[in-house]
This record gives sequence, C-alpha cells and structure tokens, in this order.
Amino acid sequence: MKNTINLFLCLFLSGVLSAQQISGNVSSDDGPLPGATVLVKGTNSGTSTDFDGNFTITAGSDDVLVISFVGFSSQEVTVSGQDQINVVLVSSEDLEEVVVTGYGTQKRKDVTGSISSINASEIVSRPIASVEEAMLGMMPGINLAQRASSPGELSTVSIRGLGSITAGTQPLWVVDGFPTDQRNAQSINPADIQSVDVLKDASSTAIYGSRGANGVIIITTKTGKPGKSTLNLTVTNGSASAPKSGRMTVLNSEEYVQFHRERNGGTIPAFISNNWDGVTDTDWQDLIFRNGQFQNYALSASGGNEKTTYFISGNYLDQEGIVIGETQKKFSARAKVDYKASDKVTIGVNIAPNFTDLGRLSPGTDDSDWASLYAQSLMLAPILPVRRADGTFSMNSDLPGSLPVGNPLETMGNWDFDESIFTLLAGMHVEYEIIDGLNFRASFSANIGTNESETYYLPTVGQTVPIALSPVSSYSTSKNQTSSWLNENTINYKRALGEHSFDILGGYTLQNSVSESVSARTSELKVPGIRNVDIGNPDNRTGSNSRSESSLISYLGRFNYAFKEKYLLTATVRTDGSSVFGEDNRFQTFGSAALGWRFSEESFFQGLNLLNNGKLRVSYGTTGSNAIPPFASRSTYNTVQHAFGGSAVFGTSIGSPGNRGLTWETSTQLDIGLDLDLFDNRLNLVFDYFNNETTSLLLTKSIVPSSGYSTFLTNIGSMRNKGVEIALNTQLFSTEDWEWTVGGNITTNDQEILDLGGEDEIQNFFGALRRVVGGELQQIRGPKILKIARVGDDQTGQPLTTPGAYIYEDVNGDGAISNFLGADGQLVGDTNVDIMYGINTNVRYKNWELSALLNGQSGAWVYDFFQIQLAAPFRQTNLSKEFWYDGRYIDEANPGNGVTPAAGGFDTATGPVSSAGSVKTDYMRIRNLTLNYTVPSTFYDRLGLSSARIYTSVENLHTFTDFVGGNPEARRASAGGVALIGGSQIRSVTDGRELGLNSPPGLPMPRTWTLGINLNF
Amino acid sequence: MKINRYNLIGLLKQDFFKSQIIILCCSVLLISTSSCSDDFIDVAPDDRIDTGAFFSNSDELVFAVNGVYASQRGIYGGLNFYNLQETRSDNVKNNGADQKERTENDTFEETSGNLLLVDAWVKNYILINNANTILARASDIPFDNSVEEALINRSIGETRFIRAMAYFTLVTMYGDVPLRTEPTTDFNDAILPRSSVANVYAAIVADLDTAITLLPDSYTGGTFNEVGRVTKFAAQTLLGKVLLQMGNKADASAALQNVIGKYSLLANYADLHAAGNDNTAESIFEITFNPKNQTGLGLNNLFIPASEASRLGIAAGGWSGVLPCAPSIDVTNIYEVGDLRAAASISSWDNNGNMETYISKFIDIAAAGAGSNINLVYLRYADVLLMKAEADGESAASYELINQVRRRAFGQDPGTADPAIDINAASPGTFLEKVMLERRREFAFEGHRWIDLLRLPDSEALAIINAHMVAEYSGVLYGGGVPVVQAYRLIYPIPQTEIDVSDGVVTQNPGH
Repeated sequence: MKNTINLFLCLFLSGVLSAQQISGNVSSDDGPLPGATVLVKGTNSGTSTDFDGNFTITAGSDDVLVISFVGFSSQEVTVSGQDQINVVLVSSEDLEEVVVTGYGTQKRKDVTGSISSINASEIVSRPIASVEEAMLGMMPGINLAQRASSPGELSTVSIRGLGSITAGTQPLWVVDGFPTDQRNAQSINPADIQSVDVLKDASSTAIYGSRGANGVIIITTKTGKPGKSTLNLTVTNGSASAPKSGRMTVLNSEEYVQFHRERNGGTIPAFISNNWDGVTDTDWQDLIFRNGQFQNYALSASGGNEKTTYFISGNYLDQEGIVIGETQKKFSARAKVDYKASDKVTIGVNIAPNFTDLGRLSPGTDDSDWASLYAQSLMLAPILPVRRADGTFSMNSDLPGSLPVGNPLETMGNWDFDESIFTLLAGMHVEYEIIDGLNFRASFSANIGTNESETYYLPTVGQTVPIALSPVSSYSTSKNQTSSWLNENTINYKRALGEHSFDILGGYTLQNSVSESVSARTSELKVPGIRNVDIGNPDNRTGSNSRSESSLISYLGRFNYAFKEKYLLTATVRTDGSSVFGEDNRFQTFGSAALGWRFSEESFFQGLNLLNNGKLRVSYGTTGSNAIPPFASRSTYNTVQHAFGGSAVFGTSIGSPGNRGLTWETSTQLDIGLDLDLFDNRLNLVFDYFNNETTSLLLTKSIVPSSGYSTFLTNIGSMRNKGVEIALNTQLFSTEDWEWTVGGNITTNDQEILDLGGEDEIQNFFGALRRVVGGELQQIRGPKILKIARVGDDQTGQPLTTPGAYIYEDVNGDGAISNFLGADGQLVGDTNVDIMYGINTNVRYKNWELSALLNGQSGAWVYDFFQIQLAAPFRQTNLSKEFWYDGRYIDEANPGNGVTPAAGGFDTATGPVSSAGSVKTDYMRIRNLTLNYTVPSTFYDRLGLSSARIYTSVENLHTFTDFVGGNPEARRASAGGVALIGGSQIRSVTDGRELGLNSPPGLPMPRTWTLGINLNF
Repeated sequence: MKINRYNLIGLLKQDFFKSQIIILCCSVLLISTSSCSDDFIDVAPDDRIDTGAFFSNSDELVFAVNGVYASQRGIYGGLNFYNLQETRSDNVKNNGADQKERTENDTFEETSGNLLLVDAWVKNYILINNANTILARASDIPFDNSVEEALINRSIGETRFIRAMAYFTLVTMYGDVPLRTEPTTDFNDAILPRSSVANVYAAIVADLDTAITLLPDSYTGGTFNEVGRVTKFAAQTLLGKVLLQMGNKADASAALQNVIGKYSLLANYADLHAAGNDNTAESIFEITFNPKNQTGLGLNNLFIPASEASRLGIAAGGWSGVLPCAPSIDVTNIYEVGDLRAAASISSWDNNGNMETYISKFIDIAAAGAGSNINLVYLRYADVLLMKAEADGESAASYELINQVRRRAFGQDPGTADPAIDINAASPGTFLEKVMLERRREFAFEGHRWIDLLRLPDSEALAIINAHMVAEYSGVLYGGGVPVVQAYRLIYPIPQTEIDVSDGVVTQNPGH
C-alpha cells in the first residue's frame, strides 16, 4: 500500500516539477560509505555523502546520477521520478578477480602464467594457526607435508615436486612484498591475510630470478578501505586430541607375550618370565597423550577515508599439543596505514611484530626426536609397569637383551625445552604518480627475526639408543638473529590505447641479510633449576658464535601486452647479482616469455553462451635457486691447535676449498595451461602441464687427492619434474535458499634424475637409499621378498630356512641372498609423491553452511626404518600390531596373510633393509569439516553489530591409509643421531629434506574440535 | 596533439617528453648504484678467516706455518702412517685379527684401494698444499722492520723444510709422485702427472738448501720463537738423510758434518722418550704433542695392552683386544746382554698366563683423555752419527761414530772407548750390516726402519723381509706356504682414487 502511494506521488511530482529534491544513501557490503561522490551526469552539480552515507541532491527526472567512490565501481542511476535513491556500490576488486604477481597485480583474465590463489574468505572460518594449514589441499601443485604435528612446527613445502638435491627445495615466501622465509610467513595471524598467491611457472616466477626456481608464495595482508570503520572480533575455542584410530597400534601384554613365546619356540622366554608379574599391561601412549586446549582471539579494525586508510589487528593464540608439555603461544599485531598526501603521492607504512613461544618436555630439535616422548611410548614393552617396585621409573633395559629405551614419564620430568621467536616485518613505501598511468614506487623495509632457545635437563640414565640421553645434567642456551633490509624501486606504466594495452614494469632492488648466532652451554649443574651457564662445572662450559651475511642486487623488468583483450603477451627479465656465489659467477639473468589467447573472445565463440571465458596459456623460461650457505664459494682457513713443548700456539690451515665458479642451479620451465569458465561461470577449470628441468645442480665433485682436497661443491647434474595439474570448481546449484559448490584439484608428478655429473648413483643412508640416474630423486634398495615360506617350499640359500620366514628373490641366481649392498639388492620403492589431490565442498541452506575439505596423496614409498630396524622383534621392544602381529604365519593351519612373517621368521642380516621395510604412504584425510551459521540481523540490530557468525569445526577427523607407521605424510627433516643397519650401530646422515625415512614415526595428526564466533561491528 | 590510436611511436614520444625528467633521474640512480653493485655483493665473511684476506702480515704467516706443523702431528701421530712405516718393516708385527687393510700392509698384500695408503697420500698432500699456499703468499707480505722481515724469511725456511719432509715421505713410499709446488686454485685443472723420483729428490734438496740459508741455529723461546721450530741443523740433518737415501754418500757426509758437535748424546737412553722431556740436547727435530692443548699423543695407547695400562695406572688406557702393533719375534732378539735399549723399547705383559711383548718405548704414566705428553723425535744426534758412519763407509772414524752410540746404550760415557762394548772391523758381518743392526737397535719403533731397509740392495731388503714373513706368519696367517714378497712391493701402489679421478693421467706403479 505504501509503495503504491510512493509510486503515485513520484509520478505526480515528476509531472509537476522539472527539478526535484532527491535524497538517498550510498553503502557497500561493509556498511555506509561516507564521502562518496554523487554527481549529476554532464554537469558540475554534485554533492558527497555524509558520515552515514546519506545525501540529498537536486536533479531533473531525466537526469542520470553518477555515484562514485575510490576503490569501487561507479554506478549510474536514472532519476526517473524517484525521490529516494539507495545505491550499493560494489568494490572494484570484487568485480574482477585480481591476482598478485610480484611487484604488481594483474586481473586474473589477463594472467598468462600459472598462479593459484586463496583469499580471506577461505581462511577465516577454520581453527588454523598458520597460513600453511590454510593452503593445504586447496591448490594444485603444492605439497605441504606436516612432518611433525607439534604446535609451531613448520611444514615441508614444495611446489611441483622437488627440483634439487642439495640446494633447497623451499619455495620463496614473500610477505607484503618482502622476500623472507617460512618462519616469518608462518608467524602471520591467518585472520590478517587477504590473499595467498602461489606462482608456479617461469612466467610468473622469473620476476624473482635467482630465487624463483622452487616457486613463490606471495602472502598479502589486508588493507583498510575507505568507508565506515569496521571492527571484527573472532573468538575460537577448542580441544585437540589423539584419537585411538590415529595412533599406532602396538601390542598389549597378552599379545606381546604370545609373540615372544612363538619366537622362542613355544616357551615364554626368560626375559619375560623373570620380569612380568602376569598382570601388568601398560598403555604407554595413554600416558603421554592428552586433550590439548586451543584458544584463538583475533581483533581487527579497518577503515578510512579518501585520504587515509588503516588496518590494525591483534591476535593471541594459545595452543596445547596432544603430547603433554607441548605448547605454543603466539602474540601478533599489525598496523597498516596508507596516506594520500596529494593527488600524486601516496605513502604507507606496515608494521607487524610477532612473538611466539614454544615449549616441550623432551629434546626439541629435529635430529634428536629419537628421545621424543612418542618414540619412547611406542617402544616400551607393555609388560613393564610405569615404576619399579622401588619407585624408580622402569625402562626397557629391565628386560635383558632389549633395546634400552627410556621411560617417557622420566624424560618429561627431566627435560625442558623452550624456544622464543620474535619476528618483525616493518616497512614504508611511497608512490608517485608521475603522469596518468606512470607510477614510481620506492619502498624500504626491514625484517628482523630472533630465535632464542633454551634446553635444560636433569640426568637421565638408561637410554643409550637410538639416541643416548645424557647421564649428566646440562643447560644450554642459544640465540640466533637474522636482520635483513630491502630497498625496492619500481616504475610502472599502464596504458590502454584503443585495442592495445600495456603494463610495463622496471625495477631495481637491493637486499642485505645478516645472521648471527651465539650459544653457551654447561653441564653437571650444581644447583638444579638455575638457568645460568655459571652454575655447571666450569671445565664443561663452552661458548660459540657465528655470523654470516649475504647481499642481492637485482634489476627487473616485465612487459605485459594485450591486444583486443584477446591476445596476451608477458615477457619478464631479472638480473641478479648475489654475494653467495663465486666471484666469477655472481651475476646471472633469468627470463621468461608467455603467450595467452582468450579464445572465448573470438567471434566464433561469441554465440556460445556456455563458454564464459576460455584462455590458452603457454610459458617458457628460466629461474634459479640460490639456497646455499652464504660463504660456500669462498675458501677459508680453519683454526688449529698446536704446541711447541709446553707453549701452545695458534695455527691455521686451509679449510673449505670454496669454488670461485659456483653459481645458481637453473630451472628451465615449460607450462601449458588452459582456463575455462563454463555454464554461466558455474564450472571453472584450470589445467596445466608442466615440465621443469633443473640443470647445474649443486653437487660435490671428486678432485684428485694430490691437489690437497678431496671434493668441492660445483654445478653438475640435472633432474626433471613433469606432470599435470587440474583444478575444478563447480557450483552445482544456487538458489536463494540453497547453494552447493564442489571443488577439487589433482596434481601428478613424474620425477627423474637425468645426470649426476657422470656418476651413476649417489648413495645415501649407507646405500639403503640411493639417487640413481633415470630414477626418482630417492630410491629405496634392498632384497625383494617374494613370499612367506610354507612347509615344503625350497628355502635353499635363504637367510632363514624355517617355515614362516621370508623368501627373498635371488636376482643373480648364485644360490645365496646378499644384503642390500650386494647383487640381490634392488629397487623396492621410491619416495616421490606421484599423485596428490584435494577436494572441497560447500553446502549452504539459508543461514547454514557446511563445508568439507579432503586431501590425499599416492605413489610415495618410505623406508620404515622404525618398524623394521628399531621396533623390530629382535629388539624386544613393543611392536606394531599391524606390521608384525596381525596376519603373521603361526603354523600351516594358521599361515596368516602371506605377507607377515612368523614371530621368529625375521632375520637380522638381510631383513632390516629389504622390501619388507619399503612401504606405501598413500592416504586420504578428512582434513576439515566446518558448520557455519550466519546469525540473522534481527537478533543483533540493537547491539550495533553489522554481522555475526557462529561456527564449529573439526580438523583431521579421519585418515584413510594402509600405512601403519604413524602419520603417513610425516617426513623427517633429518635422520641424525645413530642409525642401526643390519644390527650394528652406525652414525647416520643428517641431510634429508626428502629423505624417504620413517624414523621415528610422526605423531598422529591432532583431531581438533572448535567452536567460534565472529562479530563485525 | 592528436593521438593516432595505432601510432605507438607517437604515444611513446608524448609520454617520453612528459616523463623524461623522471626517467633521467632514475637512470642517474641506476647508473650511480650499479657502479658500486660489485662492492655491494662482495661480502666477505667476518667470523672466519677468508683465504683472500689472509696473509696480510708476518704474524698471520706464522699462524699458517704453525698449522703446517700441526698437520705433521696428524700424519706422524696416527696409526695409519705408523702401520705403513714401522709395521711394514721387520720390527713390528700386525696380526690376522686386526682390520684387514692394516694387516695387508704388513703382509705385502695391499691393494691400490687400501684406505691407509689413501690417508697417507691425502694428508701429506694437504700439508703440501698448505705449504705451497704459504710459499706463494709469503713473498707478498709487507713488513715494517727487520724483525718482521726476518720472521718472514724464517717462516719460508720452516715451510720449505716441512714440505721437503713430506715429499721425502712420499717419494720413499710411492716412488714417482705428482710434484706440486704451487697451491691448487683451479679445481677443473688440478690433475698433474707424476714426476720422476730424481726430479722429486731434486726439489727436496732445493727446498732444504734454501731452508738452510734462512733458518736460525736455535730459538730463544717466547712467542714466535718457540723452541721446537725447525733449525738450520735440522735442515742439514734432513739433507744428509735425503742424500744418503739417494745414494749420494759424499754430499750426505758433508751435510751431516755441519751438525757434528752441535748436539750431544743423552747419558740415559730411556730419557729420550720420557714424558715431558722435550727438545733435549740430543734432539734435532721433534713432532710435538702436548695434552695441555688437546694435542697429546694417542698413538702409544695402541701399543699398550689395556690390562697393562691399567696395571701401570695410565688413565688414558690402552688397547683392549689383540694389539695392532707388537714387536716382531725377530726384533726382540737383536739386543745384546747389557744393552739398556732393550728394556727401554720392549716390555712383557701377562696375557692370561702367556707372557707376550709390547712396545714400551713411549709411555706416559700421567696420560689421560687428552693423550700423552711425548714428542716423536724425528731427527736426533745418534742418527747423525750413524748416518755419517754409513755415508763415510768403513773406517776407524766410522766405527768410533757407531761406538759412541753403543757406549751410551750400555750406560757408558759415549766418548770413552770400552773394548767390551766397541765394535770394529773384526766384528762379525759386513760394515753395512753392522751399521744397519745398530740403527735397528737404536731406532726400533721410531719409524726409520722401513726406509733404512730401502737403502739396501733390493735383494738384501727382500731377503730380510721374506725371512721376517716366514718367522712371523708361518702357521699363523698361512700354512707352510708364506707368499714370497716381490721387488715391486718395495714401493706402495698409488692410491686408486688418484688414478681414477685423474682419468689415468696419474699412472700406477708397475706390478700393482
């Protein structure tokens, strides 16, 4: 009725008056827009909106009002007699997806390279502590392996496969334009993130030159927008646990005793009968796991006017790990302000400090994870009580002949590890618009990171392997600081001219980084609890320090050209000069070229409504990898001790040989891509084929020993990763009440070592792992098991000749089985992930929204050193039930599954490195389920809220896998410490980003339930 | 100005005029900064010693020379080198229960892949490369005064002596070897073929001749003048030793004559290797070991059975298991009654009821974890006397030189004739046999025996070795058929890695 009257009134008035008073309101999604311009088209007559976005203006009925605001698309409204005109402006960013390309942005439709992105809306509703978790499973081509699930641990990240052997496989992390490291990226409050753009091919990464070979991950934080201020509060609380289904299943006492009875020929061995009371059945895992609390509070405010915009945020995260004693506390803040000083000049500042504190009650470094509580809890026999009769902690050494593993409860009482990490990323920039379209930008920023760690422990007697726990108390403290500064100067010219458009970028950048570390240590503490190196034995007090520095100078340029918005060209060049390389080879130029064809713009497709956008992309180019220690190219002197008689003298001798010619690994990358948007944009497909060949791999090469050296680091060898990526997003249906979207991505990778500088193979881990020309990066070698022997089988020449033992393949037919180094050793698995995938789906009904994320991988094998060497039957530790117990051969009536040997069917000479230890890590995981409820505005109108959302979520609900050795995606960062090969102790290797070694098992991924609320004021 | 939409040149021109000032500014910025870009990325380490910046003054030169002395410690203080020198001779036996490669060097069955041979090769060449670097850089070091100049010259002398010693070791072990006198700088062009034995010896003699002109007679002690550094007399003694090995007896005698009377024999033979008794009146050049500086001697721990070390109260302990080095049956029988050198060199221990011998020449009762405070005496006056006698040939004067050494060994004054001890032309054996026997008694287990044997005609050396093999290993390692050692085994094979990496430019010794 009211509307009818209004309509009538309007018609009436328009007939009477040539000009009328019009009032209205201008707003955006986030609320009213103060200061928006309302102009009568074709005149100078106009006004701007007040603080609440309201305006009044006088205009004729046929006039057109033009409503505009910075950052939003203008709208035109014909008055046609209306006296109330309300306009909702749409952010210009929302209209067309923009991707961050490094030193600039580009509209998605114009991009010729391969770039995957996620944005804020895909991050905010999950209980995640870092950007890594947000990326996992969401984008093709990116492998994130959470090698340890303890709070604050960094994931192992690689893009399009591992392309290097020694020079690092980490992508470059760029945070708000600053090339930094993973630790800095991980410390960012996820709620601050506007977008994550992953540059994957040479066309997109060549702008980062010598650091682009492993891909580039660009994280852009949120920026304030002009308009009404908004205040956003997110509170998430939850709890993490290690569900039984995710733990390793080990034997209980009854099974343990049964197994060893069989192994001992039917009688219970003395080590059990003398030490077991017949009742004790300890579940050691239960003693170390707990429900860990998760709390996250994030507050941010943003807004501004046409002169000044700001974004301010603060975040507090308090996360307990699922293992007792593991904690992470993180405080972070950010202030980002941009000020438009004049029509031509904008300056801005961005400051983001972050403080993280990590705690553990066991040794905290990667290479001593053998003393981790989890490893201990898996290896202690269930027949042991927690404490002996005298009250001391029991351990495996109480069972004569057992691997002497310590008691996790004693370890957690004796160890305290604490790590404090402070990072600060701060910078300012100035932009000057020289003429329309021509912008000069200069920035100066600094990145400071300090890392202080402290280890304190009391004497722990009894564990000597796999890693010895010190029988004397000790205290050590260390501090590392990295300070780097960056100056970037770029000039950018954008111009559209008829059917041609150009975007030209030139730049000059300088970066310098200094790392320093100091550490001190003492042992035999006189007064327990005091954290000072003076408190120990003065003779055991040691201190050390180190310092390194590197500089990078770069000249960069990029040329984007589009003709008729159909034919796209991108050419990129960057020349880098880096101090880390030999003085003969410090400068190198990298470049790429890419072509794009938006065939959907061609006339022959115009009639086809089903195709909204179609683009074919081809890119080719080179990038580099400079991840070697800063002074590897330099020859240096070592200090040596000497004495003449009783007079000590200082001496020096040649240390590292250096190599003046040392230079970048170069990656030559081809990418062919296809982007399709179909059916009214309801189906989006991105397909990419990639072929990356890394040449001049950094490897050590032998030199004649009479030169005074044995090897030197040089650029030899090559390898290749190729595969396809497919990302698909569909909106299955969308109505006012219902919406259902499904997305998925899959990546394949075929990896091959092409050349190892003339060598056929490089042995790793004593030859159990090898890099072989023609094979994947890492191969597992050993004799191959054909079957489990049955009565009557020919077992001549086999290590064991009893039923239920392994029968190995006699490759050379010599009637005997060699160990893994001999002729019968063969390829029994390789560690490259052949296929990985992610699936996400989102169902909305009215205000309810349910989303799910799954991810998985297949094709990667791992050498399960833990099951086959350490927690193996002959060690008398506890055992994996699935690996050793279920399905084992017992007798001819109970022959088992044909895979698992009899309790006594495992020989220690050949078995420990054989195909039995090479296992598949295929898995699929329900990574996340989230239920969101958007509270209708009627509930909170009076509270001053503009929106409110409540959500509940579960991370890592379940993992489907046949892998029994803990978390299947776990990758050891190193395999340091002591290794056991064929029953003897040997010093182990420390290299191992991609080492295919399960040692020790990864903690189960925590299942985290959370409840959260998000309020917008 | 009208813009033709297809006229790109016109567009660029228009913009160029508008923006030329800015572009000019940027260009100036770029040019000015690029001129210093090389400096910006030339970052030298400041927590470690960069080779390029080192050797800026005479002090640093001395540090590098100290490092070469330390390298000698690494060679002479190790079991590997001892195995190749003394164990190989007829003085010491290895045993079949030891590591295969160590045993093979004792039984003349070593292969070119033997890791001990590689180790000796690598360590000597590392030392040589360090020495070559010092010599290449020393002449460029600036000096302010004559003290610094003298330090530089002396350092060159010390380095040339030590390099000569390393090449002397290599040439006696391997025969023809690559003769490197310049530091290795280009890794892609590092391969060098072997030089003849004659050329290597010529280089050694040249080094020593130069060293003699640059080195002082003695050191006053104190920083940079520590007693124990190479002296002129050490260089002259080594020159005599080298010339003798070359067969140039006349020049050897002349070189050694310079040392006669400059040192004296210690009254008590056992004092020569007593713990802490460094740089005695008899000692000409020693490899210094000192536990105070974590540079103690550990080699002697391998000579002493663990139970014996325990009985003697040596905290450093000994070898548990079968000894890798023990006196040969033969060497225990060479001493006459009353020769104090026997007890100073060999002792017995109770191995579960069996009395067995062990090398007891180097015992430091106070040795703990940081090793023994015992120097390995490489050149001493007794050696000068015996070498001089050998060089001069049979004469009364030569017998007097030998007898000085003998008299001390029997606890008598070296200068006083004693018919009960002295030998002469009438004593049994040839003169050379008598000299060699005396040398063997005097220097047992000190690392001289193997090259002494090499000075004999091949047939005589082989006869001694084969007799030793039969006496020691018949029925132990072999049945009756102990393999006969061939002449080619008198020099070691060149390490296979050197040959492989050089793609055959470095060749193997015949027979191996």
